[in-house]
Amino acid sequence: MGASVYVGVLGKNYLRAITYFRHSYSDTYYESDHKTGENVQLSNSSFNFAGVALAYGVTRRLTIETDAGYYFDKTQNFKNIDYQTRGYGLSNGSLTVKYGTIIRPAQQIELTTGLGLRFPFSSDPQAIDGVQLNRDVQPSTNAFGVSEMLFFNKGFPSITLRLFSINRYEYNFADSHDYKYGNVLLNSVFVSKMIFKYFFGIIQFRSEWKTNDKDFANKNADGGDKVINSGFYLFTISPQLSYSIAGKWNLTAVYDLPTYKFYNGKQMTPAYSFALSLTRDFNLGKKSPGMKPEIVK
Amino acid sequence: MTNLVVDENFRSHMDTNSTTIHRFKMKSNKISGTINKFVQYAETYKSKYVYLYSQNPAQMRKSLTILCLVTLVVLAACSKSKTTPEAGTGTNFKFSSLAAADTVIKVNDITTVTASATGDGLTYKWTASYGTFIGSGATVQWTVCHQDKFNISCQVTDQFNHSETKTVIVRTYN
Repeated sequence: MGASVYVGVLGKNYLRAITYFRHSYSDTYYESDHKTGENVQLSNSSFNFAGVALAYGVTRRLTIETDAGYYFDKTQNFKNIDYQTRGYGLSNGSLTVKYGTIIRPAQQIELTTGLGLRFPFSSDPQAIDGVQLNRDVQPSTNAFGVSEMLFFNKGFPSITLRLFSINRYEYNFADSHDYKYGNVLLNSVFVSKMIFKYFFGIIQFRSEWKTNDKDFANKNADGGDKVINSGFYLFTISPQLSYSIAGKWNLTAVYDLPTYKFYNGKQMTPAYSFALSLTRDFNLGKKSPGMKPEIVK
Repeated sequence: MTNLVVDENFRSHMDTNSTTIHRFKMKSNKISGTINKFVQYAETYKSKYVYLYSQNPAQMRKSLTILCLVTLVVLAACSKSKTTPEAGTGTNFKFSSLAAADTVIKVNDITTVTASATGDGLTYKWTASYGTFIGSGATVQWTVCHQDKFNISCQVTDQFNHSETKTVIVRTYN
């Protein structure tokens, strides 16, 4: 992502296809900001996820993007009993409209705003053999959500360096059982630099804040809605390597290293995560050498 | 004497069988006649159809397509309705109780929850506000990782779509 020119919005009649795979592994409990191993339920958990995203440049400033993904597995292994719980299936899909508020390719400045809708493919939590799975292994929130984003991109061609900033807020509505997953505020800064020909090194600093889940149908012992062991703050450093293939494809490898964690209650936290993505741009309009830089007023 | 009785009974049975055979023959003739009439009607309509098709093939193809689609829809609706059992039949469905072996447990401990129900073709659907179920069917185990009050529900349904849901509350402590 850090190696592309048009990242917020696409040029008119351009289609971007992204496919990606992510694996995540967790084996450490945190209680607030420190590790704990006392009275914990799980030994480890993991997931394998694949997704596809399509973005289309409707106009020079307007891009529509849709994406969906599938959990091959979301697994929890119990510590004191020989038992494993496993969820799988489609995650939420999304439809996002992005508008290039400021696009000045000559100065390599881009400011994009966006609004999105997230939708479930199923309204009921997953159940296997008539038994509802734990919320933590559900592949979907089974509820609608909305998101808003602000994207900023500034290039420094003299030193072949590019700076990105993505800020996104996601609001989840309650599902059909009146269970509401927490809202998410995501802020990240990327720095991208060409290492050598066709290879870009990227470092991402990501801050993620998630509020408590709420269960409106089942009040807790204190009479409140909040689900105690939910919600967190996570700061992650993510080195990435991107390779441009024939000027059309982009292959990116990402490794997530959680650096600071603060978790409400006592929760299993991610140890590491890695992802691979493949991006391809298609020019569906008139034949042209590529997305030419142009002044957009 | 016995032989006479047997003979008489045998003849009586034979007479009955003859009558039965005769009646069967009569019915067969009737059915044959009906089939022959149907074949004659089919031939008549076939020749009419061939004539109409030759006059306006496009219109006939369109009509046939519409007819096939309508038939498919009707068949799909009928097959769907056939697989849905009718409610109202089956009177022995009763969901007696839903009980947890321990309604107050320590965090990460396991309690066994049992649904007691009678009926035909029972299925059990378990949900909880949080936590993990182990197993399936009428008896499951349940555990959770934090202290709170939790609702565990079971919906029992029989093959005639009679259904009832019960809930039990389990509290956990650290």
